[in-house]
Amino acid sequence: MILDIYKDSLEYSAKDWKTLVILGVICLFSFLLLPIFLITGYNYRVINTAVHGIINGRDPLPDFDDIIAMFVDGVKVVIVQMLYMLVPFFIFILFAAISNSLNGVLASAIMIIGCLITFALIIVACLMSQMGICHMAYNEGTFSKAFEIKEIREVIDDIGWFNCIITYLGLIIITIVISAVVSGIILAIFTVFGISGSVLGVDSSGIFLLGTLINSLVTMFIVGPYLSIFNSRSIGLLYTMQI
Amino acid sequence: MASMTDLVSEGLKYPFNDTKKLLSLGALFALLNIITFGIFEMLIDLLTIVEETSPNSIAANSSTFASSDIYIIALFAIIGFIIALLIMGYQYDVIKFSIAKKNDLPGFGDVLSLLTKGLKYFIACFVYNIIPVIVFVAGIELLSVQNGDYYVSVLALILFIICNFLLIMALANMADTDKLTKAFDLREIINKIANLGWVTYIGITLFTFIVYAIIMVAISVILMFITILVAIAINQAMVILAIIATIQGLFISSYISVFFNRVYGSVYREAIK
Repeated sequence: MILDIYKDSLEYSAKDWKTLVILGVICLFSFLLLPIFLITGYNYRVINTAVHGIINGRDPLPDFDDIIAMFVDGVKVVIVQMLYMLVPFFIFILFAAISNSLNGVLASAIMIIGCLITFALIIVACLMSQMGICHMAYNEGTFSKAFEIKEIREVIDDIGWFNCIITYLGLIIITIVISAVVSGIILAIFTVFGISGSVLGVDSSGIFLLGTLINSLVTMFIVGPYLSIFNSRSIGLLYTMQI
Repeated sequence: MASMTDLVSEGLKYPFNDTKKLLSLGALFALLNIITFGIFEMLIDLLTIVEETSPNSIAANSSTFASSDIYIIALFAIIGFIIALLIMGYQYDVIKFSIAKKNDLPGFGDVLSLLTKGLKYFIACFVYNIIPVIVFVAGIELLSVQNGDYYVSVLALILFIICNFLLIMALANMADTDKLTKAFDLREIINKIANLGWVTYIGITLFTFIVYAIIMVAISVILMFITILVAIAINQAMVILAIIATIQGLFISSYISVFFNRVYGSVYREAIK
Protein backbone atom coordinates (compact mmCIF):
# COMPACT_ATOMS: atom_id res chain seq x y z
CA MET A 1 0.00 0.00 0.00
CA ILE A 2 2.69 2.45 1.00
CA LEU A 3 4.83 1.52 -1.97
CA ASP A 4 1.85 2.14 -4.26
CA ILE A 5 1.55 5.64 -2.83
CA TYR A 6 5.22 6.34 -3.53
CA LYS A 7 5.05 4.92 -7.05
CA ASP A 8 1.96 6.93 -7.93
CA SER A 9 3.42 10.13 -6.44
CA LEU A 10 6.76 9.74 -8.17
CA GLU A 11 5.03 9.33 -11.53
CA TYR A 12 2.53 12.07 -10.82
CA SER A 13 5.14 14.70 -10.01
CA ALA A 14 7.06 13.96 -13.21
CA LYS A 15 4.02 14.46 -15.42
CA ASP A 16 4.71 17.98 -16.56
CA TRP A 17 8.14 19.59 -16.43
CA LYS A 18 6.64 23.01 -17.26
CA THR A 19 4.87 23.06 -13.90
CA LEU A 20 8.15 22.34 -12.18
CA VAL A 21 9.84 25.24 -13.94
CA ILE A 22 6.96 27.62 -13.15
CA LEU A 23 7.19 26.59 -9.48
CA GLY A 24 10.93 27.16 -9.68
CA VAL A 25 10.44 30.69 -11.02
CA ILE A 26 7.96 31.40 -8.23
CA CYS A 27 10.49 30.06 -5.76
CA LEU A 28 13.12 32.37 -7.25
CA PHE A 29 10.96 35.40 -6.42
CA SER A 30 10.08 34.19 -2.95
CA PHE A 31 12.11 37.00 -1.38
CA LEU A 32 9.06 39.16 -2.21
CA LEU A 33 7.16 37.09 0.42
CA LEU A 34 3.93 36.69 -1.57
CA PRO A 35 5.31 33.85 -3.77
CA ILE A 36 5.93 31.69 -0.68
CA PHE A 37 2.19 31.52 -0.16
CA LEU A 38 1.69 30.75 -3.83
CA ILE A 39 3.92 27.70 -3.46
CA THR A 40 2.06 26.46 -0.37
CA GLY A 41 -1.19 27.23 -2.17
CA TYR A 42 -0.11 25.12 -5.12
CA ASN A 43 0.82 22.27 -2.81
CA TYR A 44 -2.60 22.61 -1.23
CA ARG A 45 -4.11 22.20 -4.68
CA VAL A 46 -2.08 19.05 -5.23
CA ILE A 47 -3.40 17.71 -1.91
CA ASN A 48 -6.88 18.74 -2.93
CA THR A 49 -6.62 16.80 -6.19
CA ALA A 50 -5.19 13.80 -4.35
CA VAL A 51 -7.82 13.56 -1.60
CA HIS A 52 -10.59 13.73 -4.16
CA GLY A 53 -8.88 11.31 -6.52
CA ILE A 54 -7.93 7.68 -6.28
CA ILE A 55 -4.55 6.02 -6.16
CA ASN A 56 -3.09 5.22 -9.58
CA GLY A 57 -5.85 7.31 -11.11
CA ARG A 58 -5.27 9.68 -14.00
CA ASP A 59 -5.39 12.93 -12.08
CA PRO A 60 -3.90 15.87 -13.96
CA LEU A 61 -1.58 18.33 -12.25
CA PRO A 62 -3.49 21.39 -11.02
CA ASP A 63 -3.34 24.54 -13.17
CA PHE A 64 -1.87 27.88 -12.25
CA ASP A 65 -5.12 29.74 -12.83
CA ASP A 66 -6.84 31.87 -10.20
CA ILE A 67 -3.68 33.10 -8.49
CA ILE A 68 -5.58 34.96 -5.77
CA ALA A 69 -7.52 31.90 -4.60
CA MET A 70 -4.21 30.02 -4.61
CA PHE A 71 -2.68 32.72 -2.41
CA VAL A 72 -5.56 32.59 0.08
CA ASP A 73 -5.29 28.80 0.21
CA GLY A 74 -1.59 29.14 0.90
CA VAL A 75 -2.24 31.52 3.77
CA LYS A 76 -4.74 29.04 5.19
CA VAL A 77 -2.22 26.21 5.04
CA VAL A 78 0.47 28.27 6.74
CA ILE A 79 -1.92 29.35 9.50
CA VAL A 80 -2.99 25.75 10.15
CA GLN A 81 0.61 24.57 10.37
CA MET A 82 1.62 27.41 12.67
CA LEU A 83 -1.33 26.87 15.01
CA TYR A 84 -0.50 23.17 15.32
CA MET A 85 3.14 23.96 15.97
CA LEU A 86 2.16 26.35 18.75
CA VAL A 87 1.19 23.42 20.99
CA PRO A 88 4.65 21.80 21.29
CA PHE A 89 6.16 25.26 21.51
CA PHE A 90 4.05 26.16 24.55
CA ILE A 91 4.69 22.80 26.18
CA PHE A 92 8.40 23.37 25.76
CA ILE A 93 8.13 26.86 27.25
CA LEU A 94 6.17 25.41 30.18
CA PHE A 95 8.83 22.78 30.91
CA ALA A 96 11.59 25.34 30.55
CA ALA A 97 9.83 27.62 33.03
CA ILE A 98 9.35 24.78 35.54
CA SER A 99 12.94 23.61 35.34
CA ASN A 100 14.14 27.18 35.60
CA SER A 101 12.48 27.57 38.99
CA LEU A 102 14.04 24.35 40.30
CA ASN A 103 17.71 23.52 40.69
CA GLY A 104 20.03 20.57 40.85
CA VAL A 105 19.41 17.16 39.30
CA LEU A 106 15.66 17.59 39.33
CA ALA A 107 15.84 20.57 36.99
CA SER A 108 17.87 18.78 34.35
CA ALA A 109 15.72 15.67 34.68
CA ILE A 110 12.57 17.69 34.06
CA MET A 111 14.25 19.45 31.16
CA ILE A 112 15.20 16.15 29.53
CA ILE A 113 11.69 14.79 29.99
CA GLY A 114 10.34 18.03 28.61
CA CYS A 115 12.55 17.80 25.53
CA LEU A 116 11.43 14.22 24.91
CA ILE A 117 7.77 15.12 25.28
CA THR A 118 8.24 18.12 23.00
CA PHE A 119 9.91 15.96 20.40
CA ALA A 120 7.08 13.44 20.48
CA LEU A 121 4.57 16.27 20.31
CA ILE A 122 6.31 17.81 17.31
CA ILE A 123 5.99 14.53 15.42
CA VAL A 124 2.33 14.21 16.39
CA ALA A 125 1.70 17.86 15.52
CA CYS A 126 3.32 17.43 12.10
CA LEU A 127 1.17 14.41 11.39
CA MET A 128 -1.97 16.05 12.71
CA SER A 129 -1.39 19.29 10.82
CA GLN A 130 -0.84 17.49 7.52
CA MET A 131 -3.89 15.35 8.12
CA GLY A 132 -5.77 18.48 9.18
CA ILE A 133 -4.90 20.14 5.89
CA CYS A 134 -6.05 17.04 4.02
CA HIS A 135 -9.24 17.00 6.06
CA MET A 136 -9.77 20.68 5.27
CA ALA A 137 -9.24 20.01 1.57
CA TYR A 138 -11.63 17.07 1.71
CA ASN A 139 -14.33 19.25 3.25
CA GLU A 140 -14.07 21.86 0.49
CA GLY A 141 -11.69 24.16 2.32
CA THR A 142 -13.72 24.76 5.46
CA PHE A 143 -11.18 26.26 7.81
CA SER A 144 -12.62 24.91 11.08
CA LYS A 145 -12.38 21.34 9.74
CA ALA A 146 -8.59 21.55 10.03
CA PHE A 147 -8.99 21.64 13.81
CA GLU A 148 -11.64 18.95 14.28
CA ILE A 149 -9.19 16.90 16.31
CA LYS A 150 -11.71 14.13 16.93
CA GLU A 151 -12.51 13.58 13.25
CA ILE A 152 -8.85 13.78 12.26
CA ARG A 153 -7.94 11.24 14.93
CA GLU A 154 -10.57 8.89 13.63
CA VAL A 155 -9.11 9.29 10.15
CA ILE A 156 -5.62 8.50 11.42
CA ASP A 157 -6.97 5.56 13.43
CA ASP A 158 -8.54 4.21 10.27
CA ILE A 159 -5.30 4.50 8.35
CA GLY A 160 -3.30 3.24 11.30
CA TRP A 161 -0.74 5.28 13.21
CA PHE A 162 2.02 2.88 12.33
CA ASN A 163 1.31 3.19 8.61
CA CYS A 164 1.23 6.97 8.85
CA ILE A 165 4.55 7.21 10.64
CA ILE A 166 6.18 4.68 8.30
CA THR A 167 4.95 6.65 5.30
CA TYR A 168 6.37 9.82 6.81
CA LEU A 169 9.73 8.25 7.46
CA GLY A 170 9.74 6.93 3.93
CA LEU A 171 8.95 10.38 2.58
CA ILE A 172 11.81 11.93 4.50
CA ILE A 173 14.21 9.23 3.35
CA ILE A 174 13.14 9.48 -0.32
CA THR A 175 13.42 13.26 -0.22
CA ILE A 176 16.92 13.15 1.20
CA VAL A 177 18.05 10.38 -1.13
CA ILE A 178 16.76 12.04 -4.31
CA SER A 179 18.27 15.44 -3.53
CA ALA A 180 21.57 13.84 -2.45
CA VAL A 181 21.77 11.65 -5.54
CA VAL A 182 21.07 14.51 -7.95
CA SER A 183 23.63 16.76 -6.26
CA GLY A 184 26.07 13.86 -6.22
CA ILE A 185 25.70 13.22 -9.95
CA ILE A 186 26.22 16.86 -10.83
CA LEU A 187 29.18 17.02 -8.49
CA ALA A 188 30.69 13.90 -10.08
CA ILE A 189 30.28 15.29 -13.60
CA PHE A 190 31.95 18.53 -12.71
CA THR A 191 34.69 16.80 -10.79
CA VAL A 192 35.49 14.91 -13.99
CA PHE A 193 35.42 18.18 -15.90
CA GLY A 194 37.61 19.87 -13.33
CA ILE A 195 40.18 17.11 -13.29
CA SER A 196 40.36 16.88 -17.06
CA GLY A 197 40.55 20.68 -17.19
CA SER A 198 43.42 20.89 -14.79
CA VAL A 199 45.19 18.11 -16.69
CA LEU A 200 44.85 20.26 -19.79
CA GLY A 201 46.19 23.22 -17.84
CA VAL A 202 43.02 25.27 -17.35
CA ASP A 203 42.15 27.00 -14.08
CA SER A 204 39.54 24.71 -12.52
CA SER A 205 38.02 27.20 -10.04
CA GLY A 206 35.73 28.52 -12.78
CA ILE A 207 34.44 25.03 -13.43
CA PHE A 208 33.85 24.57 -9.73
CA LEU A 209 31.79 27.80 -9.62
CA LEU A 210 29.80 26.75 -12.67
CA GLY A 211 29.11 23.39 -11.07
CA THR A 212 27.81 25.00 -7.90
CA LEU A 213 25.63 27.34 -9.92
CA ILE A 214 24.14 24.56 -12.03
CA ASN A 215 23.62 22.49 -8.92
CA SER A 216 21.61 25.21 -7.20
CA LEU A 217 19.65 25.95 -10.38
CA VAL A 218 18.72 22.29 -10.85
CA THR A 219 17.77 22.04 -7.19
CA MET A 220 15.62 25.14 -7.37
CA PHE A 221 13.91 24.56 -10.71
CA ILE A 222 13.60 20.79 -10.97
CA VAL A 223 14.31 18.84 -7.81
CA GLY A 224 12.77 21.16 -5.21
CA PRO A 225 9.40 21.57 -6.95
CA TYR A 226 9.40 17.87 -7.85
CA LEU A 227 9.91 16.84 -4.25
CA SER A 228 7.34 19.27 -2.91
CA ILE A 229 4.68 18.00 -5.31
CA PHE A 230 5.74 14.45 -4.47
CA ASN A 231 5.33 15.05 -0.73
CA SER A 232 1.95 16.74 -1.07
CA ARG A 233 0.64 14.04 -3.36
CA SER A 234 1.81 11.27 -1.02
CA ILE A 235 0.16 12.84 2.00
CA GLY A 236 -3.03 13.44 0.07
CA LEU A 237 -3.08 9.82 -1.07
CA LEU A 238 -2.35 8.65 2.45
CA TYR A 239 -5.50 10.44 3.53
CA THR A 240 -7.55 8.46 1.03
CA MET A 241 -6.25 5.20 2.49
CA GLN A 242 -8.97 5.09 5.18
CA ILE A 243 -10.89 1.87 5.13
CA MET B 1 -20.71 28.99 0.33
CA ALA B 2 -18.34 26.23 1.00
CA SER B 3 -16.05 28.15 3.25
CA MET B 4 -15.88 31.57 4.85
CA THR B 5 -12.39 32.09 3.49
CA ASP B 6 -13.86 32.06 -0.01
CA LEU B 7 -15.23 35.47 0.91
CA VAL B 8 -11.70 36.71 1.36
CA SER B 9 -10.48 35.43 -1.98
CA GLU B 10 -13.61 36.81 -3.61
CA GLY B 11 -12.89 40.16 -1.95
CA LEU B 12 -9.31 40.09 -3.20
CA LYS B 13 -10.48 39.51 -6.77
CA TYR B 14 -13.33 41.98 -6.71
CA PRO B 15 -11.35 45.23 -7.19
CA PHE B 16 -10.04 43.93 -10.53
CA ASN B 17 -13.55 43.85 -11.96
CA ASP B 18 -13.33 47.51 -12.91
CA THR B 19 -9.81 48.87 -12.82
CA LYS B 20 -10.84 52.30 -14.12
CA LYS B 21 -13.01 53.02 -11.13
CA LEU B 22 -10.37 51.59 -8.85
CA LEU B 23 -7.82 53.98 -10.33
CA SER B 24 -10.22 56.91 -9.91
CA LEU B 25 -10.47 56.03 -6.25
CA GLY B 26 -6.70 55.69 -6.26
CA ALA B 27 -6.39 59.21 -7.64
CA LEU B 28 -8.44 60.51 -4.70
CA PHE B 29 -6.21 58.59 -2.30
CA ALA B 30 -3.09 59.93 -3.97
CA LEU B 31 -4.42 63.50 -3.70
CA LEU B 32 -5.21 62.94 -0.05
CA ASN B 33 -1.77 61.50 0.59
CA ILE B 34 -0.05 64.43 -1.08
CA ILE B 35 -2.17 66.98 0.79
CA THR B 36 -1.42 65.27 4.09
CA PHE B 37 2.21 65.20 3.16
CA GLY B 38 2.10 68.92 2.28
CA ILE B 39 0.42 69.85 5.53
CA PHE B 40 2.98 67.87 7.44
CA GLU B 41 5.83 69.61 5.65
CA MET B 42 4.33 73.05 6.17
CA LEU B 43 3.68 72.35 9.81
CA ILE B 44 7.30 71.45 10.28
CA ASP B 45 8.37 74.64 8.55
CA LEU B 46 5.92 76.67 10.57
CA LEU B 47 7.09 75.14 13.79
CA THR B 48 10.68 75.98 13.05
CA ILE B 49 9.69 79.59 12.56
CA VAL B 50 7.37 79.85 15.52
CA GLU B 51 9.73 78.27 17.95
CA GLU B 52 12.96 79.69 16.62
CA THR B 53 14.83 77.56 19.06
CA SER B 54 17.97 77.66 17.00
CA PRO B 55 17.98 80.62 14.60
CA ASN B 56 21.12 79.50 12.85
CA SER B 57 19.90 76.03 11.94
CA ILE B 58 19.63 75.17 8.28
CA ALA B 59 15.92 74.45 8.53
CA ALA B 60 15.17 77.87 10.00
CA ASN B 61 17.30 79.67 7.42
CA SER B 62 15.98 77.87 4.41
CA SER B 63 12.28 77.88 5.22
CA THR B 64 10.44 80.40 3.11
CA PHE B 65 6.99 80.10 4.61
CA ALA B 66 5.59 82.96 6.62
CA SER B 67 3.57 82.26 9.72
CA SER B 68 0.46 83.43 7.88
CA ASP B 69 0.62 80.06 6.16
CA ILE B 70 -1.64 78.75 8.87
CA TYR B 71 -4.53 79.76 6.61
CA ILE B 72 -3.18 77.72 3.75
CA ILE B 73 -2.82 74.80 6.10
CA ALA B 74 -6.41 75.23 7.24
CA LEU B 75 -7.58 75.39 3.62
CA PHE B 76 -5.61 72.28 2.77
CA ALA B 77 -6.99 70.50 5.79
CA ILE B 78 -10.55 71.28 4.72
CA ILE B 79 -9.91 70.09 1.16
CA GLY B 80 -8.29 66.95 2.56
CA PHE B 81 -11.28 66.32 4.81
CA ILE B 82 -13.67 66.66 1.88
CA ILE B 83 -11.61 64.20 -0.17
CA ALA B 84 -11.56 61.83 2.79
CA LEU B 85 -15.35 62.11 2.99
CA LEU B 86 -15.61 61.25 -0.72
CA ILE B 87 -13.43 58.20 -0.15
CA MET B 88 -15.50 57.09 2.84
CA GLY B 89 -18.69 57.59 0.85
CA TYR B 90 -17.24 55.37 -1.81
CA GLN B 91 -16.39 52.72 0.76
CA TYR B 92 -19.97 52.95 2.00
CA ASP B 93 -21.13 52.24 -1.54
CA VAL B 94 -18.76 49.30 -1.80
CA ILE B 95 -20.31 47.76 1.33
CA LYS B 96 -23.77 48.37 -0.11
CA PHE B 97 -22.87 46.74 -3.41
CA SER B 98 -21.31 43.83 -1.58
CA ILE B 99 -24.44 43.20 0.49
CA ALA B 100 -26.51 43.32 -2.69
CA LYS B 101 -23.99 40.91 -4.26
CA LYS B 102 -23.36 43.14 -7.26
CA ASN B 103 -20.21 42.33 -9.17
CA ASP B 104 -19.36 45.79 -10.55
CA LEU B 105 -17.75 48.60 -8.63
CA PRO B 106 -19.84 51.61 -7.61
CA GLY B 107 -19.40 54.80 -9.64
CA PHE B 108 -18.65 58.40 -8.69
CA GLY B 109 -21.76 59.91 -10.32
CA ASP B 110 -23.51 61.57 -7.42
CA VAL B 111 -20.91 63.56 -5.49
CA LEU B 112 -23.40 65.05 -3.06
CA SER B 113 -24.76 61.69 -1.96
CA LEU B 114 -21.21 60.38 -1.72
CA LEU B 115 -20.45 63.25 0.66
CA THR B 116 -23.44 62.57 2.89
CA LYS B 117 -22.67 58.84 2.95
CA GLY B 118 -19.08 59.66 3.74
CA LEU B 119 -20.23 61.82 6.63
CA LYS B 120 -22.28 58.92 8.01
CA TYR B 121 -19.32 56.55 7.65
CA PHE B 122 -17.07 59.08 9.35
CA ILE B 123 -19.45 59.64 12.25
CA ALA B 124 -19.82 55.90 12.84
CA CYS B 125 -16.04 55.39 12.82
CA PHE B 126 -15.54 58.45 15.00
CA VAL B 127 -18.04 57.45 17.65
CA TYR B 128 -16.76 53.89 17.86
CA ASN B 129 -13.17 55.02 18.22
CA ILE B 130 -13.67 57.96 20.56
CA ILE B 131 -13.88 55.90 23.78
CA PRO B 132 -10.66 53.92 23.23
CA VAL B 133 -8.86 57.10 22.20
CA ILE B 134 -10.00 58.89 25.35
CA VAL B 135 -8.89 55.95 27.48
CA PHE B 136 -5.60 55.82 25.59
CA VAL B 137 -4.91 59.52 26.12
CA ALA B 138 -5.87 59.17 29.77
CA GLY B 139 -3.46 56.24 30.00
CA ILE B 140 -0.63 58.30 28.58
CA GLU B 141 -1.42 61.14 30.96
CA LEU B 142 -1.46 58.73 33.89
CA LEU B 143 1.81 57.26 32.71
CA SER B 144 3.47 60.66 32.73
CA VAL B 145 2.07 61.51 36.16
CA GLN B 146 2.88 58.28 37.96
CA ASN B 147 5.18 56.13 35.88
CA GLY B 148 5.08 52.37 35.70
CA ASP B 149 1.34 51.81 35.34
CA TYR B 150 0.61 50.26 31.96
CA TYR B 151 -2.80 48.80 32.74
CA VAL B 152 -4.77 51.70 31.31
CA SER B 153 -2.89 51.51 28.01
CA VAL B 154 -3.53 47.77 27.78
CA LEU B 155 -7.18 48.43 28.58
CA ALA B 156 -7.24 51.00 25.78
CA LEU B 157 -5.81 48.46 23.36
CA ILE B 158 -8.42 45.86 24.32
CA LEU B 159 -11.19 48.43 24.01
CA PHE B 160 -9.84 49.46 20.64
CA ILE B 161 -9.93 45.88 19.37
CA ILE B 162 -13.45 45.24 20.70
CA CYS B 163 -14.80 48.50 19.29
CA ASN B 164 -13.36 47.82 15.86
CA PHE B 165 -14.72 44.28 15.87
CA LEU B 166 -18.16 45.74 16.41
CA LEU B 167 -17.52 48.61 14.02
CA ILE B 168 -17.21 46.26 11.05
CA MET B 169 -20.70 44.91 11.64
CA ALA B 170 -22.03 48.35 12.53
CA LEU B 171 -20.86 49.86 9.25
CA ALA B 172 -22.45 47.07 7.24
CA ASN B 173 -25.64 47.32 9.27
CA MET B 174 -25.74 51.05 8.59
CA ALA B 175 -25.05 50.63 4.87
CA ASP B 176 -27.74 48.00 4.58
CA THR B 177 -30.50 50.08 6.14
CA ASP B 178 -29.17 53.53 5.14
CA LYS B 179 -29.84 54.83 8.65
CA LEU B 180 -27.14 56.30 10.84
CA THR B 181 -28.91 55.21 14.02
CA LYS B 182 -28.59 51.56 12.94
CA ALA B 183 -24.84 51.85 13.37
CA PHE B 184 -25.35 52.23 17.11
CA ASP B 185 -28.04 49.63 17.57
CA LEU B 186 -25.73 47.38 19.55
CA ARG B 187 -28.37 44.78 20.33
CA GLU B 188 -29.14 44.21 16.67
CA ILE B 189 -25.46 44.14 15.74
CA ILE B 190 -24.65 41.60 18.44
CA ASN B 191 -27.65 39.51 17.40
CA LYS B 192 -26.39 39.44 13.85
CA ILE B 193 -22.91 38.42 14.93
CA ALA B 194 -24.40 35.70 17.14
CA ASN B 195 -26.41 34.56 14.15
CA LEU B 196 -23.19 34.05 12.22
CA GLY B 197 -21.44 32.60 15.27
CA TRP B 198 -18.84 34.49 17.29
CA VAL B 199 -16.04 32.07 16.50
CA THR B 200 -16.69 32.31 12.79
CA TYR B 201 -16.93 36.07 12.96
CA ILE B 202 -13.73 36.57 14.91
CA GLY B 203 -12.02 33.93 12.76
CA ILE B 204 -12.93 35.57 9.48
CA THR B 205 -11.94 38.99 10.80
CA LEU B 206 -8.58 37.72 11.99
CA PHE B 207 -8.03 35.85 8.75
CA THR B 208 -8.78 38.97 6.72
CA PHE B 209 -6.37 40.89 8.88
CA ILE B 210 -3.63 38.27 8.46
CA VAL B 211 -4.04 38.32 4.68
CA TYR B 212 -3.93 42.11 4.80
CA ALA B 213 -0.79 42.09 6.93
CA ILE B 214 0.98 39.67 4.57
CA ILE B 215 0.06 41.76 1.54
CA MET B 216 1.19 44.94 3.25
CA VAL B 217 4.55 43.49 4.25
CA ALA B 218 5.12 42.19 0.74
CA ILE B 219 4.11 45.51 -0.79
CA SER B 220 6.37 47.45 1.54
CA VAL B 221 9.27 45.27 0.41
CA ILE B 222 8.43 46.08 -3.22
CA LEU B 223 7.99 49.76 -2.38
CA MET B 224 11.37 49.71 -0.72
CA PHE B 225 12.92 48.50 -3.99
CA ILE B 226 11.05 51.19 -5.91
CA THR B 227 12.26 53.79 -3.42
CA ILE B 228 15.83 52.69 -3.93
CA LEU B 229 15.42 52.87 -7.72
CA VAL B 230 13.83 56.33 -7.55
CA ALA B 231 16.45 57.47 -5.08
CA ILE B 232 19.16 56.54 -7.55
CA ALA B 233 17.44 58.57 -10.28
CA ILE B 234 16.38 61.58 -8.20
CA ASN B 235 18.47 62.82 -5.39
CA GLN B 236 15.87 64.63 -3.32
CA ALA B 237 14.14 63.14 -0.33
CA MET B 238 10.99 65.27 -0.65
CA VAL B 239 10.40 64.34 -4.28
CA ILE B 240 10.98 60.66 -3.56
CA LEU B 241 8.53 60.75 -0.67
CA ALA B 242 5.94 62.48 -2.83
CA ILE B 243 6.36 59.88 -5.59
CA ILE B 244 6.05 57.00 -3.15
CA ALA B 245 2.99 58.60 -1.54
CA THR B 246 1.40 58.90 -4.98
CA ILE B 247 2.14 55.30 -5.90
CA GLN B 248 0.82 54.10 -2.58
CA GLY B 249 -2.39 56.08 -2.87
CA LEU B 250 -2.98 55.28 -6.51
CA PHE B 251 -2.58 51.53 -6.40
CA ILE B 252 -2.34 50.20 -2.88
CA SER B 253 -4.62 52.14 -0.55
CA SER B 254 -7.47 52.07 -3.03
CA TYR B 255 -7.15 48.32 -3.57
CA ILE B 256 -6.87 47.55 0.13
CA SER B 257 -9.82 49.73 1.11
CA VAL B 258 -12.09 48.24 -1.55
CA PHE B 259 -10.96 44.75 -0.50
CA PHE B 260 -11.70 45.36 3.17
CA ASN B 261 -15.11 46.86 2.61
CA ARG B 262 -16.06 44.13 0.19
CA VAL B 263 -15.24 41.50 2.80
CA TYR B 264 -17.16 43.40 5.50
CA GLY B 265 -20.19 43.50 3.26
CA SER B 266 -19.90 39.80 2.42
CA VAL B 267 -19.61 38.84 6.09
CA TYR B 268 -22.72 40.84 6.82
CA ARG B 269 -24.52 39.17 3.93
CA GLU B 270 -23.64 35.78 5.40
CA ALA B 271 -24.78 36.92 8.84
CA ILE B 272 -28.27 37.97 7.82
CA LYS B 273 -28.88 34.82 5.82
